[in-house]
Amino acid sequence: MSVMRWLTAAMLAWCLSSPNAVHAQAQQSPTAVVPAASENARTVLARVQPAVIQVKGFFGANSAQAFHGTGFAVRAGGIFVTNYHVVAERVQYPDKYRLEYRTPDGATGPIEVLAVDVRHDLAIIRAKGFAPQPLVFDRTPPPKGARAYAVGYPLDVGLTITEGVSNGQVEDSFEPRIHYSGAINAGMSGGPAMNASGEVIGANVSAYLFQQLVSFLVPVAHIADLAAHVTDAVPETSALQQSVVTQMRAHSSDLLDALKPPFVTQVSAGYALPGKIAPFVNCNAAGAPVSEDPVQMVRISCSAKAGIYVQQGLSSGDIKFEHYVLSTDKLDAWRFGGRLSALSQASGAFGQRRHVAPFACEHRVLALKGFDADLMTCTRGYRKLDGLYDFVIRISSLSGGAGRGFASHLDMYGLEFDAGMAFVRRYLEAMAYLPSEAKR
Amino acid sequence: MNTETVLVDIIASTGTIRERVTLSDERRSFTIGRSVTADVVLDDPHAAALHAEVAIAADGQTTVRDLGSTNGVMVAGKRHHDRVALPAGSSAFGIGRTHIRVRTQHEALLPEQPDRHVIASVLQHAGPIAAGTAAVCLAQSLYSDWFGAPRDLAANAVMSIGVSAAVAAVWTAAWGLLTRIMLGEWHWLRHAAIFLGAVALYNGINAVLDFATFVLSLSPWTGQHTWLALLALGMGLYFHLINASSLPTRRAAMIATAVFAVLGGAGWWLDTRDTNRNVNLVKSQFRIYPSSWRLAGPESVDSYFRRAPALRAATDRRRDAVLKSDREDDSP
Repeated sequence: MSVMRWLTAAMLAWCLSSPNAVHAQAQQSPTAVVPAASENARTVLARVQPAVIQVKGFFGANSAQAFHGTGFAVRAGGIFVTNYHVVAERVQYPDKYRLEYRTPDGATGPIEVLAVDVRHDLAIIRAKGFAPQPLVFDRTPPPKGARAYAVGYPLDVGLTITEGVSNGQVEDSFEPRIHYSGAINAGMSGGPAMNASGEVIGANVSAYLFQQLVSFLVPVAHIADLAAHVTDAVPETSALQQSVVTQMRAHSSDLLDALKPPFVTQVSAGYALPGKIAPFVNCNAAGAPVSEDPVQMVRISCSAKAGIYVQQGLSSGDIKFEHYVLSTDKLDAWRFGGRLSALSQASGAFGQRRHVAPFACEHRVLALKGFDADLMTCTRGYRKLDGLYDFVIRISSLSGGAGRGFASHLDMYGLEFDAGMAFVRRYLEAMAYLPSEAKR
Repeated sequence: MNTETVLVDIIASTGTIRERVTLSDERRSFTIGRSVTADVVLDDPHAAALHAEVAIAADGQTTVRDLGSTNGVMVAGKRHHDRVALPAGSSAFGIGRTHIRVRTQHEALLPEQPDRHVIASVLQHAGPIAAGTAAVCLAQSLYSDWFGAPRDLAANAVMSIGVSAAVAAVWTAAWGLLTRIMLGEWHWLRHAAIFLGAVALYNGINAVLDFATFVLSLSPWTGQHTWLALLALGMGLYFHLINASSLPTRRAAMIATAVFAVLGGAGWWLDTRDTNRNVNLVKSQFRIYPSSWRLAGPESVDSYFRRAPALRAATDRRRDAVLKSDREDDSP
């Protein structure tokens, strides 16, 4: 819900309403029939509307909002759920931000944060002075193709319902998400998503920008679990912050547990390198089919896509790696080494000074299976997330065979140090040079 | 020099001889002042029309007599309004703000100084040296282009040589102009030789250090390029200065050292500050060569990970330093 997100969303909205789009609509056949809004959408909206609020965040004493999202009643007594990322700034900087709700009728009041679940991007809040009837949950995973609806306050233009299709749980996702083929825009975060009967199947959480209606919901089971365990007592902010740290560490531990060997490797130019090491790790490989360059390169990119939103400008708890495999039949080893050097430099580590400390690095030459490699290991700690570290690892070698070399970039964010280094070791030990495969 | 001749040097405040007047010693005396009737004419507004008379005895003793001026004659730091004999071994005195030195055949000359300025002497052959260093730089540039294996080597080479030549020309021209102003000569070949020599030295040492780092499996020295560049700049500046001005070598060395120290200190401060503040900075400049050249063997995986706690401790120290800095910033 950052300013950047707002700007991006605003740009997207502008593009969709640009003169070209209007022109395209004007050129439609006059006999074309625009389908009427779904009667069922009206019914669903009417059913859920009394239990939906807009969650607004304010910086300091400003009356103009800094960000906003949506929430809906999950328990009696004014207990609502929204996304953690909607209230994250309030949790991390309680003396800088305050939260308020606004009902569809225009009533307003303060909000208290009762519990957070950063792994599923959920937060339980209490709206003081507003206690509607909670919505009904449907814990049955929605089948692919089932009608679904999402409600929220997109771009602050008022309460809105969008109609789409549930496509079941996202395949090979580390954290469970429901794939919703319908519009979810900035400001709808934390709003309810319903089946055709108006029962809640999840909470709006995210969408791919500049794609075609690829949106995601947090399954309702996690909402129910979190709501069931929350107490009426308002926790200290420090307790909420510690809860974030604890959950991030649990996420780190679970992620690395799910990445235990034996690792699946991919062989390229004789080097066996870690590939799709878990079902939820997505990999793709690409190279230039025709190139005048004397060095041929295959780039293999893998990502666990397990990152968690912690606060503005900080997503963590993720692992990604890339291999740049080089081969040449034209260059001598000296010049080939020069090319490899350019790919061995560490760059692309992004972080903000308010979240992380600077890196400490060391360089070593290690004996791996069938080859020697230069290893650059850089680590940095988090300021608030005590015990979590980022890792930037660069491995490069051309010692396997003549005209064959690679540079591997392993970037890990928000992991515990020992567990992270243990993963680095597994990663290194999975590498090998296979002379018989060198010409492939 | 004719033994019957007296030289009168009018010396500027910088120590250089502004004017030299040659007098026949037939009269054994001469006058100094602003008037055209004086034997030695000064343009100093603090001198009288006929300010003083200088007399040289047969034994070489020089006497200065004030001719009633307001400011008198300065000898050995004292102001005189009458006749004063110059101390033995000295032939200098002051009128107004002008220093004057009288030289006769009785002048005691210092023994000839041995020329220890070997490199400066070498620069007497600036032409061949400039040509040689230019050839080395050209070879380094071509090697660098060839090493990168670009798709169009010829275009890359022409571009990099062209840019390098333009930089060298501008640099040399600037120092040549300064030399022309200071000494009345261009000495552009010397300055070209100095510039090209410094560049060749910088490139050469860098390449050797890169290679040595790889061969010995050492950790890269992150400040290598910066400090070598500063060293080349300091050395180059020294030779430029002694060839572009009449500065004593010691003073030129002090200036070059000061520039090196100031730029190095500022660079070190900025780099340290950046290292401590830039949370995304990863210094990992290292070159990879054919592994058959390595002299130091690789480390085992077991050995490496046994030392992981040291990296963790270093990482935690950096975090602690940042948190401490935050607390200090927040304190009233």
